[in-house]
Amino acid sequence: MSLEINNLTVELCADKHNDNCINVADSLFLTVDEGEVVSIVGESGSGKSFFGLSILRLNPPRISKITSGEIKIKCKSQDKEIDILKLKPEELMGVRGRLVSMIFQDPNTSLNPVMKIGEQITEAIIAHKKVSKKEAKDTAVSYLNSMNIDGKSRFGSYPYELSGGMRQRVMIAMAMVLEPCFLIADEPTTALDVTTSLQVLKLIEDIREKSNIGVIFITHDLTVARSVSDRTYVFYAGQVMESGNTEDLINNPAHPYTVSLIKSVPSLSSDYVPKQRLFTIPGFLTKDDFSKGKCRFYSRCFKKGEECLRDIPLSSFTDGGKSVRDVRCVKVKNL
Amino acid sequence: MDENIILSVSGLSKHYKYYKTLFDIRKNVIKAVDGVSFDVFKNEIFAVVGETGCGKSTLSKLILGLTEKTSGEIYFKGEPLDYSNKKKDFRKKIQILFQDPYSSLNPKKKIYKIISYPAVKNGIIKSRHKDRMDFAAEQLKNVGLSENIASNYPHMLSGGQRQRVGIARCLSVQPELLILDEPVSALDVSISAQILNLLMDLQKRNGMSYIFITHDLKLVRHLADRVCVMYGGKIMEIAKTEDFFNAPVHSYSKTLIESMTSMSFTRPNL
Repeated sequence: MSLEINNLTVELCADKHNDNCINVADSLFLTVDEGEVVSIVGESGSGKSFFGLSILRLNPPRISKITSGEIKIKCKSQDKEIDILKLKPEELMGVRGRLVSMIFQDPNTSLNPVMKIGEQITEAIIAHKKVSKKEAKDTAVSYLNSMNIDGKSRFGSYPYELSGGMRQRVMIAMAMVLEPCFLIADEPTTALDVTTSLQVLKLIEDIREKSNIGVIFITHDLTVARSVSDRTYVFYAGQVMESGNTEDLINNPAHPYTVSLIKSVPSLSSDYVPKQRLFTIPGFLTKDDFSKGKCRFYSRCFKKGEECLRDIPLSSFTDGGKSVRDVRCVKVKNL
Repeated sequence: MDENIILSVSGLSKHYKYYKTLFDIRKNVIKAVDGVSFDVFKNEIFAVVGETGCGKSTLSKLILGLTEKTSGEIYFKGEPLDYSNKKKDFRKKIQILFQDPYSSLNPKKKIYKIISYPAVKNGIIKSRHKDRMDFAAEQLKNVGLSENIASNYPHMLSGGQRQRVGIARCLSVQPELLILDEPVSALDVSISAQILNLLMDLQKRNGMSYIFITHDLKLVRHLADRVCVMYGGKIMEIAKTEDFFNAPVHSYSKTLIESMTSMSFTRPNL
């Protein structure tokens, strides 16, 4: 069971005539194994959500297209490997929700406000499986129960009757109800506060342990990434800047962007001095950062030099023959 | 009355009444804020922490006079806070910075109009185009923005720029107390560091007091002088920031700190 993304490039165009295009995902490589949580970290506009949508080919079709690459998934329930990019539209329906499922960012807008939550879940079951309405309802109730929601009494509730955290748990129940082998979670905790987001993170952890599925966790918060994931990919302007073991990456970041991200967060550790000026990354992500012929982080980097003015390849660092870290920076010679 | 106290709240309550069903005879009561008392000192950053629904936002609404209080007293520099008293200009002295810079700026108004409106309304400047432009340019410079954006619309700006415009707007009338309602929770890590630095600089330069409403304890630790923990409309603990993090007394504060530190990482020295 594995999900493998090779050389995925997605173009986003300003208009439907396909000119004025940028690569929002630029030759991305990513693998997720069984029972592994991989997080994608980056600021808004770095193309991380777009990447998540592209995995299921949910990217807006009129203005964007996947120009190259392959997305291979291998599932227990499926006997052979599938390349999502080669599927016909009708075959794609069997993958979305069934093999690879998605939790969206904002639970307030991604549930249908005029439909009872129970019906929304059973709708998903009936669309994919040949079961009776009664059986579908039973499954829905049991999944709601497993999300710590009283399934029986909440089956007939409308989304507005639930709190934000409960809505997000309904979204997770809906995503899990078809027992997919991969889950893409697109900032599931951003709209929630600390205590409820902790509950949701714990739930995702439980699901991973119980059903042993692979999770791609998209977030902008390194703290969240650290608490859920095994490996982390740091995104900037549609490219992977650095990737590796999460704990290792946070304790010993190599790429200047990762370093800046970590330095700009205040810490709760006991030796931290409050009230000092925080480290900042100057400027903000612009369209120019997506252009070719220079490092994409060039304009905001504190380490920039002349050698950065060319396309930078992703270089691998190995430890005892095993690749431990990928870094896209010419200045980094060793870890 | 202590000279150093800028805002004094005593026994403040806000109860909402509602009927459970259409034919309910008795009204049910939700105590959003229930008997809250605290003082805010001059030049102090006073943090209010708590989870969603604990009454943080209702508290800020009560201080701003945006909702009627059920009982209790609020004093501003020793005088009872009454927004209908036009002579005292309380509106000018207490301002708020909203959480979401994407919905708190009017999309139909140009930036210079947004920034200069409170000043025009309070009679600081005349409502002439040139006056408003000059005023806005000066305010924009204060918060580190170029004056060229004065005739742009909010949608042309990034999230960080918009929050700076929001700051410029509430500082334009030179308030003495500023309520910050989750000022950076809608922003990216790199941008939020810029905004926090700016807020700290402005506080030093202008000598204001902040009431900093947040759920992020990292920011509290970084900025605040004193912390107030709210739960279910009541205050659980008020303490100096240092004492609060080193030795929290209330069990709820302990859970709050534990849940944050379990997630947070010890930052490597870079």
